[in-house]
Amino acid sequence: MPGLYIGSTSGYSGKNTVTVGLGLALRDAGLSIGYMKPVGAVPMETKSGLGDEDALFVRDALGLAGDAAHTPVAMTPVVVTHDFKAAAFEGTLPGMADGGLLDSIARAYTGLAWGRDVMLVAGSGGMYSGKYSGVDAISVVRRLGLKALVIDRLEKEPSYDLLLMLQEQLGGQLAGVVLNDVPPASLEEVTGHLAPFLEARGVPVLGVLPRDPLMGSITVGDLAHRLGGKIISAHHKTDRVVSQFLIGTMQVENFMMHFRRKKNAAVIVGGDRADVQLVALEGDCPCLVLTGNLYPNDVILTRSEVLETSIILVREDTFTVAKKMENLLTRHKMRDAVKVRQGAELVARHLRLDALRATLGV
Amino acid sequence: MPDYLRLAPLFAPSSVAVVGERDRISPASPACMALAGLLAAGYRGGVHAVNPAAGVGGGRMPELVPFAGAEELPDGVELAVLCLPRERLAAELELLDRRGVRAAVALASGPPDQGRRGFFSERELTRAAVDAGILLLGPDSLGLINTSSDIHIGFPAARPAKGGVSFFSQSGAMCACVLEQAAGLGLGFAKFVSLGGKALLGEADMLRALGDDPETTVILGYCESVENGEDFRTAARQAAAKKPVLLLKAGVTRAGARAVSAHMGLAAGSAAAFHAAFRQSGVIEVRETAELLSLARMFATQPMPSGPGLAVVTNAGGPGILAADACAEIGLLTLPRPGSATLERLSRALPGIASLYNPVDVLGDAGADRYEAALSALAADPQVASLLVLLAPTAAARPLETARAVIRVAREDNPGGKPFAACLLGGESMRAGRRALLEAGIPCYDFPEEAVAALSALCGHGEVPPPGLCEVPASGGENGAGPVDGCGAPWDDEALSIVESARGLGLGELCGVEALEAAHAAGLPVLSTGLARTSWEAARLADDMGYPVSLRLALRDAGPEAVPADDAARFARLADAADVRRAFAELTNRAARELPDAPALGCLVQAAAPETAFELSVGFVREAPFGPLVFFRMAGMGDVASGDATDAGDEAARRLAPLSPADARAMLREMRFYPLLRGACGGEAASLPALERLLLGVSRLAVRAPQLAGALFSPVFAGPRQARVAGARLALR
Repeated sequence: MPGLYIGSTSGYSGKNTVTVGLGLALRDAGLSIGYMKPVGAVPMETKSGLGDEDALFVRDALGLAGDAAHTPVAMTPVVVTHDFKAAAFEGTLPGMADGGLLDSIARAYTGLAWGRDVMLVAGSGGMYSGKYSGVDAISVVRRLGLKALVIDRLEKEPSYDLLLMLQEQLGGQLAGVVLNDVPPASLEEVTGHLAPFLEARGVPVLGVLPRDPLMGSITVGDLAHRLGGKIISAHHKTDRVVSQFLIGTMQVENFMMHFRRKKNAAVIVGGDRADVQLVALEGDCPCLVLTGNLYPNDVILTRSEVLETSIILVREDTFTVAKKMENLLTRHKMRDAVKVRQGAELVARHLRLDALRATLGV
Repeated sequence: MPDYLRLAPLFAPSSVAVVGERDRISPASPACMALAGLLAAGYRGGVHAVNPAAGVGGGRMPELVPFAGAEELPDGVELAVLCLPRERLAAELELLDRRGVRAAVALASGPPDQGRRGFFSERELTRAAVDAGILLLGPDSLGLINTSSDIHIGFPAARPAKGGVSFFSQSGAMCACVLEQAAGLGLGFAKFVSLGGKALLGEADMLRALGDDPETTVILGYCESVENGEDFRTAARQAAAKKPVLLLKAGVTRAGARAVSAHMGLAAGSAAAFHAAFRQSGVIEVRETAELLSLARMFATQPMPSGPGLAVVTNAGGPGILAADACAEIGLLTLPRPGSATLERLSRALPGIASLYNPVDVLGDAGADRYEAALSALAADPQVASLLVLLAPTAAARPLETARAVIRVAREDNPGGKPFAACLLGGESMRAGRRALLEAGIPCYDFPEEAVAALSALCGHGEVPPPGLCEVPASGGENGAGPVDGCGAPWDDEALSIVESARGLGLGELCGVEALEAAHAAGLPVLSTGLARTSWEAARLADDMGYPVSLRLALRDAGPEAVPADDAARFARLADAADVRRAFAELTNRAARELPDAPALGCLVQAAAPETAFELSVGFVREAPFGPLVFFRMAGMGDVASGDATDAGDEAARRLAPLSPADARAMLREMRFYPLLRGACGGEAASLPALERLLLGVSRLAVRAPQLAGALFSPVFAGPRQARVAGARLALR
């Protein structure tokens, strides 16, 4: 039974999205799939032992929740906890030096793969993450004899140097690469120039996923949670999505100009800037983020309830919040059903499933 | 030299020169109006004019020959009134200095300069005044009045009566407003000063001068900003020790503060810092203009009462009830039951159905005689320290006769010299009565609540001994016992080293174990705490400390606490090593999931707080212009390092450092939950001396570590024997 490792050049690149999209597509094609995430970096205690939050989410999205073999411990034999790291750095981690950790991964893999047409093995972080304890993607791929699909999320341009290095290290085991989050402006350059270059150097490009505003968005409720803020109005509207942000420290006239151009932008503004708050509320922004722990006045609160726009109150100043928000919008976990559907659709439409199946032999 | 003598060239000059612009010689020019005003006020000293055409000063001094320039002025001119554009002021001061002029008033000439230009031109002016050694009032002053020496500069329309009230204001418009209002209220003034742009003379100078001024009995002031907080506090304290000082601070709300900064280009300072500065200096803080005038009337005319007992005499039930309510609400005055001798006198003088108990109701058909009898009886009662007369416009009311009766009793039948106030409810019919009372120096109000508020303020001021100068510890004192004693533990300079090394690393904030270590070195009682990087380290630390222990996440960067408060309780009392290890895993795992951007260092292991301890927050924040403001409140109430009241219901006690032991005591006592700390409702009491020591310790830290912008110690667990700091955050400058 063949297995596919789904890794990426860095964290937050779309591994879960592609895994789910790919898994569902294979399942729809009538194949029986198995799933594991051998190294977990998002520890979560469950009734049946320590697992990984990502792994549990993807398992459920793939419809494997009821499968008896897919327990949290089996799916993620290595969970990186605080203690794990400390022990690894001290050189006291059992299984680190003698390959015991890899052995346990191999055992779990065998167990899960039993009777499946294809196994999906998801990575954690980048392709080299976990090297310190001997469980990096390269080692896992080699040990389990997998094919590897590497996702590269565009930061200005593809990480072609890194992809070529991976090609050298993995050789025939590199099934191909998926270029993710390609902005419309770069689409032509990527498909016209870079993809052919990579193909010519032995790195098959199995998909180019265009940027999707929904995938890079976060709900108001999650945003409040991640910012450590408090929602103080329109509590029933926290499912609206935020895909960008705008800082409302300028004069109202200038603010209006920027505001009209940005869709689904949360407005970060000082709690004492009622003028900007009012304009933002009436312009239907998904939420206001008020900084400095300053309560807005009653007019603003009432208006936000009437216009059903949540207000998030945060402690930090505008600059700090904006910095956090920038991180948040590009680096957060996929957790809601809407995004799973959207992601699956993206993958189904843009991934060359036939080529991948041919490589895997299924 | 007393300060009023220092400012004598300003307030009582022997000779005045009015300096105008060469090309503006119309009678409406500021210089001509100033000259005319001075002459009209009957100023008897020498008057000279530079530039304004002769004779325009109302033609009263046809012999007044204007000089062409200040350099021609004769010797002996003490005060110059400058009606010049701002850019010429500095040069003119230099000229005046050469002619021996000692003081100058720079009157407003056009809208003040703002922004950079305004800032630098004002700085230049300050320097010029200092170099010339000239006492400069202004720029942009509206004027200066001293009724005793007939100095009247500016304020063309006003002719205030002589009296004991002195007023200074940063806002010229407020001066004009108070001046006009006061005329109708029977307030007489000693000095009246519009400070304007405060290039040299500011609030502190006025407080000093007016505090020393024998003609001033009450000081009123309107402040927007204060530049030198320490100087202001010292001056206010000294003045308030001698006479009542009533200050109205504008810009106490955020909107107001913004308005101040737009108006003056200056930061207005936080309202909390001003409240504290006023309170600690013994200044009576007034919140609105009406209150300022209403209290001024009371303080200017009435002596301090000897106690809280107020007798209310009324001819109608309603007003009496309102007065009683107001007393209870403010909480400073009581309505004592008249003594038996008084009751006997009252029952003889009043009809059988009159209410003899306080408020004493002389009934609607009462004339002046019943009032006189009742007041006379009550004034003799030892329980009664102040008296309030209420007169409603009933058919039988005789306002003027009643007013005269009140005046008679207050003057002739008032052996203890008790303060009197009246409230004549109604309009036209009361006018004559009101005027009579005002002229006799008995404050007369329109409504009972206002009268009670004024009497309460008088009583409150009389009751609190003015803060003695010795009570407020001097700041500074690098060595020796330091500025504050009674903090409990000694000071260790290690606290400063910890802060300094953090600053050296470029950190903006210290938290976790380092902050607690600094707090410990600063002599604050700290719960024993250790940082565990792994679960087994946590268990070992806990073993050493002894169980139960509490566990808290330690983040590399000070971020939001990862664990919601209700969950934190689960980690507050861990009974054994297995629990500790489980808790460690749970906390760090959760951090990995929920705070991927804020890497956790591990957990803080801390001796558990006693189960019944109160959770409090103590800290300080440096507030311009007054310096560190120490605060104290329940933990979890808007725990921002600023100590600002943010959440509704947030209650905090605040005082400016350095705190005296009395300040610390008062801070605890003014909290609404103070009875709980004392063990009300059957709970266990917290050790108040321990909390006082903690407050003093925080004050000492604030004074000795100027590199700290603020500090928050939260939670502080206050138990029956001790108070312990469990969490600390230090904000570096």
